[in-house]
Amino acid sequence: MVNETNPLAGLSYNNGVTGMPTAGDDAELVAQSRQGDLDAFEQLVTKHQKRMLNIAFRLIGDYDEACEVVQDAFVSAHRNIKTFRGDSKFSTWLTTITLNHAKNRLKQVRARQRRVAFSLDDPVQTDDGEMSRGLPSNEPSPLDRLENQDIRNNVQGCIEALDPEFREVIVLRDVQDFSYDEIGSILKIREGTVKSRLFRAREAVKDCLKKAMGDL
Amino acid sequence: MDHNDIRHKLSEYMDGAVTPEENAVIEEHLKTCPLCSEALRELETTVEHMKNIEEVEPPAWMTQKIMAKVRAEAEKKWFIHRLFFPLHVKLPLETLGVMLLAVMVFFMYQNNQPAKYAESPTQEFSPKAETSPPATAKDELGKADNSTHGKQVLQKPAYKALDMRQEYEKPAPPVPEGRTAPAPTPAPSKNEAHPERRAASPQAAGPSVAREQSVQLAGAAPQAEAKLKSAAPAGRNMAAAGADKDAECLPYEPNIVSLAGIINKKDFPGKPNYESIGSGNERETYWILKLDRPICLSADANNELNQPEFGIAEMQLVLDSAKYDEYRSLLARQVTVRGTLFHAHTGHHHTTVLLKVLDITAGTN
Repeated sequence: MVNETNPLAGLSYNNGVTGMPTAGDDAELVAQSRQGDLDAFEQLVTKHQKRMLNIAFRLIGDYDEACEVVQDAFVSAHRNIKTFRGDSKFSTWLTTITLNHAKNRLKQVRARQRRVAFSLDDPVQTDDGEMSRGLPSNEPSPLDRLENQDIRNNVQGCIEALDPEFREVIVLRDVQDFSYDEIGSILKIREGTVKSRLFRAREAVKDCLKKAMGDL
Repeated sequence: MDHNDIRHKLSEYMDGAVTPEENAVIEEHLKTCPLCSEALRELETTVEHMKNIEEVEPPAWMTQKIMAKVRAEAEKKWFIHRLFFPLHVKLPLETLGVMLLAVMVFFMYQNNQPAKYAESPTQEFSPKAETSPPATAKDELGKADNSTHGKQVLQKPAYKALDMRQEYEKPAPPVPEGRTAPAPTPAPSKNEAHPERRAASPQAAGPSVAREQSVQLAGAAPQAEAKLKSAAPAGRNMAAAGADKDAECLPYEPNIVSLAGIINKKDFPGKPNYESIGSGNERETYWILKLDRPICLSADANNELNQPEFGIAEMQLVLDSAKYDEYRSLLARQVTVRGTLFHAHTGHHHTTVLLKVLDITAGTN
């Protein structure tokens, strides 16, 4: 349940770090895009690509893979723009598409990493993320890797150490500043589930950072 | 709410996502609980770190690359759209085109089919196309007879040509009951000549009696006929003899035999596909002689196609159009048919053994 005065329910997704676009004029551009206006769609790409790239990058942790995901997401969005009913914001709809592509790409990356790890037959070389996925805050290997690194890298490392379902919630809420109901709409889950996942994700990242940095 | 509940609500409290009542309870608890206060501080610091995390910038080429992919898809879609839309105009046109193509293919196929069939008849039946038989006594036959029958005895494929010409009863206007059959018209057909006359002057013989003729040239037929004639007064019918286990089987052409039985008409599918009358093929009506008693036939040393046969109970009669008219009044009656026997060897032969008719008489001789 969200308070009427809850600032999180607002339309703005400016996180205060960079000047992110507002959702304001998407309806007009979407309508033009639906009519086959590619210039209008290009404006939507320009407007939303950075945010989609950051969501994909925080989820996958690889810049090049994230770029691929964003391209695929926009192509999918254009292909299906006639199915966009407009009962949610375009940014929410686009984020759902980007997340789905990112999750699929993550599975492929993980599968590839598993194959490499097994083929090399060298357990020491196993990817950190893989080892720490089950218990992110208790695994020593990510912490070793995080030592002497910048705090921002620590945060990214701790986010990557989370399970995908917790990772996507914390990225959408704390990095991208989506409201609870938007997150519920994007992930197709109830608001209560959003809250509980967010609590557990934050606790896990907090513990991870404490271990990496000694204190908060 | 106890301490643990409040501890779990801190995340929502921090986001302002709790109810005003919960908010008041949590704030009251935080004043007295240093653990929860510390947990809240750590959570706020963690979230602050995440909010301050540096954003990555998209590469300069990102928009162009996305739009290039989008344009490529749009062009593909446009092509499909051009191909099929507006549906109410283009779909009927395309359907028509496909149908025309299908009809064209069908007719091409149809034209190829009869071509295969037609090849041999034109070749085989045309007197000009006739090839001369090997140089033996049959050379003379070839000269005397313009038909292909002499050749057909020698070559299997030529039998097919014979079949194509073999006459079946044409659907003629019905002859009134009790009226005698009209006299045979002097058609230019190969079948017009009477066997006896042909025997007397082989040069005038028509092609359809080639088998008989070939033997007559060799001088065998008169002997056979004489044998039959001498046997008849002794009351020994050849059909009866065939049925007798101890008796010899009947000979094939050119020997002339007399067989007793009843003739009935029977329809068979004809052109173009010879499959089923119901499916549009022509009706070919033949006369079938149902023998009083089954017969057997002994092998023909001169023609390997005339194989020995046993238990032959009915046979297709081979007649020309004049004979059909002449003997129609004898249908479904007890008759004696005189003629020469030969083995079936084409699709137009519907019984194992066929009888080429010389004449038919009512009753049993």
